[in-house]
Amino acid sequence: MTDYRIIFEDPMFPDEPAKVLVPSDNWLADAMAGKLAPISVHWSLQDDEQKAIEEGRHEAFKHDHDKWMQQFTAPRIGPLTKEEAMEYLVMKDIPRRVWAVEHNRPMFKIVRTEDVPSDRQFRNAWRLTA
Amino acid sequence: MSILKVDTIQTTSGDGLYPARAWVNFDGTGTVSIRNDGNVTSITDNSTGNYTVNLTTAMQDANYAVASAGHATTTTASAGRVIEPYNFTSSSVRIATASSASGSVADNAIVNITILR
Repeated sequence: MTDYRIIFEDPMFPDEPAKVLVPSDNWLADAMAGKLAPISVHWSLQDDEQKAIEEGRHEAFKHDHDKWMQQFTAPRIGPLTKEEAMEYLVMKDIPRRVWAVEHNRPMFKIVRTEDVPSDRQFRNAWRLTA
Repeated sequence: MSILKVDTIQTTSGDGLYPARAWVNFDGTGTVSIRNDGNVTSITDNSTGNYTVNLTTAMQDANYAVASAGHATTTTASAGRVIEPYNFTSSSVRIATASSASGSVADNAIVNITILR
């Protein structure tokens, strides 16, 4: 089990509870071994797909082959620390509207796993506090 | 370590073979955690019985198939769960787990997701 979790709230869905991102141990090992592609590769693919969704053509959408192949061919970014890997994960798996836009309160937080409650009885009422 | 890179895998008679492109086995109860996975960066615990699987390497499109299985507990044979994938993108899919008896969303101790394309 990884040491960190990332708790975030999505400003597009303010009534939804706080979400918890759980990193994969296997992916973290790859990140620390320097096997990741630049984050810009993922952003480029996400932007193309988001444009297709907004234009109503997602069902017929296919990634540009050369851009898609960058996931495998772009030079690797080198070994990351655990903390740097968590930052990479924020930029890859959390919508940009959460972390790239200034809000009037923190919208995400990298925490240690033991700081996340294990009692899920009131899971749908979880909120991120400072 | 050797790496085999191919575009197509076939049987000797020319029939296609389609290995899994990604898979994950996670516990959606208590402290949500991934037991093991392949080609998965992370999962997001969105709310009770609702998760997102985030892929390390995106698929070429969002028209892949998701095979799923799961159970409420790890040890007891009990009322079943339904697992429903939705909100497909090339790099993520959202998963809802619910009681097959009541239809109410509920956490699963076992959630197995396999992505095939």
